[in-house]
Amino acid sequence: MKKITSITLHPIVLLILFCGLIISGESNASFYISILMLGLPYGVMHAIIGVVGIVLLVLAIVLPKRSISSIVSLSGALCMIVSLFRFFTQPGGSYNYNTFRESVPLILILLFFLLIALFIIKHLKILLKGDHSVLSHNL
Amino acid sequence: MPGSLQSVQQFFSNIQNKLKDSLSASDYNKVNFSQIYKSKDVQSNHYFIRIGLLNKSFATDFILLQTDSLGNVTGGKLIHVDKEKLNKRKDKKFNGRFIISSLNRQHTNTQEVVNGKWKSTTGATAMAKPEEEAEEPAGEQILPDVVVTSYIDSDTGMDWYWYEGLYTGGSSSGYGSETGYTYGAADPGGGSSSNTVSEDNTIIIEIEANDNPAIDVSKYIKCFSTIADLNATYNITIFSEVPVNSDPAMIFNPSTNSPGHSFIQLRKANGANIVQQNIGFYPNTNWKSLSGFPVESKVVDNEDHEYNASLAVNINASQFQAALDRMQEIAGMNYDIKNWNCTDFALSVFNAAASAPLLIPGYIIPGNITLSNTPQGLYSAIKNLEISGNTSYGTPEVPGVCGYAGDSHGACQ
Repeated sequence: MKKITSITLHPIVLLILFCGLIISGESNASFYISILMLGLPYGVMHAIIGVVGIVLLVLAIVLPKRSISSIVSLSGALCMIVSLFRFFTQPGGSYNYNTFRESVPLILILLFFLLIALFIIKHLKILLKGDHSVLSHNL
Repeated sequence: MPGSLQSVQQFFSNIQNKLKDSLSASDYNKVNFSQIYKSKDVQSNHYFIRIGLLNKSFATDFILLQTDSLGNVTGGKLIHVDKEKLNKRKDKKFNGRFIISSLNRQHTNTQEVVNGKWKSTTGATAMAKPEEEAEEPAGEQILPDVVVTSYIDSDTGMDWYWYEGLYTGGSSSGYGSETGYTYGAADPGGGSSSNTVSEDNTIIIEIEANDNPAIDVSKYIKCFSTIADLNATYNITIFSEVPVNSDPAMIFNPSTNSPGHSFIQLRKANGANIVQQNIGFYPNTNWKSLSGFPVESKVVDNEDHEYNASLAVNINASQFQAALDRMQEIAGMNYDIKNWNCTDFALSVFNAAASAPLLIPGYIIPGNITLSNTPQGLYSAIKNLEISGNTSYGTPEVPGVCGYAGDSHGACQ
């Protein structure tokens, strides 16, 4: 069970899910990563925050100290949530509300939020325990 | 309303006079003037006054008056609610019927309610909508529930009536509300002393904007036959909405990922009689388009859709018919953002009617290597026609920032 939890809550799983979220608009659909890449050159807020989130989670994987890794992981997770929140609530954000009306995009986004909630709880627990052990990897 | 522009006494007097004039003597004697509630409908901005009847349950028998903002009574109905089932958990929604009578009881309409919604009736009654109004309103497919039932930690539900819906007997479109719909509690609880008006116990239920429901093209086309052909004028307009208003050169909106939209407007007029339809083409299940293959499509009512450029042309009856035929022919085709998208659809219909086919510059959609027709390309073509003063394709219009296409007539049975 612990192994399954470790795998499903691994930053890489969250990264894949975050980048692979299907965003369904009125006339087209895209993976969230391509929306981030499209917005990044124009300095779009959700794109910047989303990419920062991705970078932080990647960083968390390679950081050796567990407590620091958890802080970076939490920051990355929060950036991802803020990025998605900003994306859907920005002016014109309703263009992509089909994401919540179509089954596959909705399931993916619900799964993402479930896993990220568990991910945050996991890392809050680590921080509260004051675990300063050194990690060879996060699994 | 009482307490503001008119005194409570004056308002009370208005109600009494209206009821005295309209109700029969026996009905007037049953009016319970200690049970008067007022509320404002957020959608229509009408005020509704609900008045009880002596020895009757307020939830099942009441008078519903509509007033203007000054408190002048503009009309009223006698309502009897015949509820079929108890609101047990297994019967979550209201089922039954409303018997809605004019105040003098000369006209009575029985409206069935199934799972909280009006059931479409076939038996015309004195108050039923006239046949010529029996069309679906523009863009409207589903009315909000006329009764909603709420449950709070109990097996017994509480019903809430949509007064505007009750008052209009189901003919209110309920469309276009940005704020929601006002529902009053079937039984507001408590009471008021005589000659006072209490605030009704109401809730506002917000209705999510409709996600571009598919329309039946043939029903939309049918409406044009309601206008006489003799001396009729015909017009077709193609619209382009670019992804970014401030920068028409952008092929996608970097914030929302929207590629913009193109759609068509068909208009037939004969004197004061006008039928206008705004029609656009979309994928039906968008996420499937990720595969890169064509996906099922839908045709949508683009009433009041934003646009950044339009090209309008007056045509004759046979050209108009050719456009209608083309639209019906291609409405069922699969949507392919690269090869058969909203711009291809609109262009195809427009060119079926046009004397000179409009050609637009193609653009490469990200992730593709061939040129595609896009709203940006259509905008560019119309803008060039406007700059050059070329009206051989029609009258180009590029509004300052954006314009809105206007109403659609909607479907006809």
